[in-house]
Amino acid sequence: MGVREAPISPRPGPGGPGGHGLVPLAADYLAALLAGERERALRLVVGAAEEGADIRSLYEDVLAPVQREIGRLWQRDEITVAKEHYCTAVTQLVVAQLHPYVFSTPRNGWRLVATSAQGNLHELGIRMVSDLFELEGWDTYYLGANTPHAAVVDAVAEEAADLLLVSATLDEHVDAVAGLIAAARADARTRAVPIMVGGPPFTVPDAPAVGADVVVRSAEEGLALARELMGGR
Amino acid sequence: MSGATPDVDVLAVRIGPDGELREVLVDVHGRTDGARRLTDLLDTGSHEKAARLLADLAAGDSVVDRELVVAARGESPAAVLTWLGWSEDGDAMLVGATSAVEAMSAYADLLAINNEQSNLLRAAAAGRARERRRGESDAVQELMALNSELATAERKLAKQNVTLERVNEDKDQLLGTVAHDLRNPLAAVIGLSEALSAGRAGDLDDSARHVAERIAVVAGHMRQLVDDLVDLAAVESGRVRLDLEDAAVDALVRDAVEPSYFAAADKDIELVVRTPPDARVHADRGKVQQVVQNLVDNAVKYSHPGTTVTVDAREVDDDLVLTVTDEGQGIPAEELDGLFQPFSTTSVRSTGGERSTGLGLAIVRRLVEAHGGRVSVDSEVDVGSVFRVRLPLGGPARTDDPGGPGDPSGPGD
Repeated sequence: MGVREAPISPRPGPGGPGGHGLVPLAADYLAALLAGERERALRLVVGAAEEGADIRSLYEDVLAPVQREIGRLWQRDEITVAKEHYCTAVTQLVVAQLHPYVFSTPRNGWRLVATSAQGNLHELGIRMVSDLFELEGWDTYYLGANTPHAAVVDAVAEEAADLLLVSATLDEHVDAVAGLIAAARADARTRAVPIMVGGPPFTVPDAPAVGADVVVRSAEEGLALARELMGGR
Repeated sequence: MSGATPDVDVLAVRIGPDGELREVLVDVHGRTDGARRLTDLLDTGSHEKAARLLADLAAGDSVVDRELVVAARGESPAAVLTWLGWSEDGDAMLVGATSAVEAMSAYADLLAINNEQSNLLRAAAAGRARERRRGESDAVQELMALNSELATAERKLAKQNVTLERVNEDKDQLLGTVAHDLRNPLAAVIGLSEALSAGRAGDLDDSARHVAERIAVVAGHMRQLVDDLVDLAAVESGRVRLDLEDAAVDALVRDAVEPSYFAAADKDIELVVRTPPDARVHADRGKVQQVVQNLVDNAVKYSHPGTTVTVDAREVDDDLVLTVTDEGQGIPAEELDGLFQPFSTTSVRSTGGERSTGLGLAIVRRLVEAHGGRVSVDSEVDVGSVFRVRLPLGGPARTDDPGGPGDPSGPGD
């Protein structure tokens, strides 16, 4: 399946914000975020949606790369954690404004429950991945990171989910992911439900084994693998 | 050590050029137990960043304000620490703390005392400023947790909202289809029962003719109900298309009132119409006439013989204000709230046995709102009611949603 060629350059471009090799809308959005102009950032993306821009592309080519860029800027000490939180909160607001578009796509009959490892407050990524599944026609049920394992397992059973999606952000979340998977495997109702995991701790060489059926490195890979999994059912 | 505040995070280490831990100077939380390299202390996500920091130190640069995530260890959760570092005799010194200020303070303490004493830094790190910082840190964590919960709830609600909208659309479509399919057979029932009572299908005795007349009356009411349902379904589903034109207010209002003269005359009710001679309004003529007609019909329906129903149109600022005033029974205050909702009922009864579908005022409200206008009512029991419609003379304001039902915020009446 392979990872799609990202529309952004991995190296910073010249000229500061806006020159990072992002698509123009993403560069503008990033510049608005870094300038603390929430309203402008919001109008840029929501305005594009209102004018008929492809919602999936807004997620994949604008919001996701900008969030990655924000993370990279933090890694380079160009912005502080506080700034990163601010940018993430604005993107969360943008995502909320896009939800009416996301949830009105035709259904494909598959259902999934998505959750973030307990204690993982960096949930935006997995929520956006859930939205991408929703855009592909899945019925997705996102449970917050503070949902106990038993409640997640119950939700998988009650929603008759075809897939359980779990994400982690930090190494310390890996144990919680393993715990959740063990709980799902131990329950007769959910034993056979495929489990997909993703997030930074799983993208490194020698990634920890947590008992998942599939480990994915990107949303796109997750979507493709999910299609394959469902194709065999 | 007394006065220690183990919640304040300070780490100070001396490291070799390849990141190996040579000496632990300060470790408040026991994060270095068993660790051999700097990366052992860190979350994997911060390894790349640590490599860059080491490279900068190796180049002889001092570093400040670097944020690295230290991994969870034992009872201590992962945390973002702010680091500063400098080269020293081929090795590098690194100080990380909960904030840049704390790191600076720990750095100053390191310079002031020898390494054996460095574990005393924990006490030096305690203080009101740090406590405040910790409080802020807790608040940020709490805020993030709350934001996560809100975002999750928002997503769930947005999904449910779309499902409800779909169900509502299905309902409107079903309503429209059923109502539409009922119209033709009802027209046949009315026509045939009228033919029967007129004797065109042979002579009937009085009793049979009475039955045929009743059938026509009941079927007529049903047709009115179906017509109203079709109108309402169209308005509710946002399918109302306004055919906007510049219309003379005088002719528009008088044409709308005319069909009610007979019913008013039958009940000995006087209909008075006052209109400005030259006023014009940019509106859908037919829809505004339907508004006036529904209001006048209602006024006549609920007024006593010998009273007056007044229709008044006038320009006020940039609006056309239409009022329909009756001297009827009035509506109790507690029943006014739901008056413009579909199928609303009141305790007020018609004075001539006329029936009501309960949809007329709901249609009025939606048609007025589609024009960007507002409708309201004032009423006093045993005195009468005043229905007031306010329409922008220039027509509905342009929105991003042409063909939509107008300002969704509504009048709130």
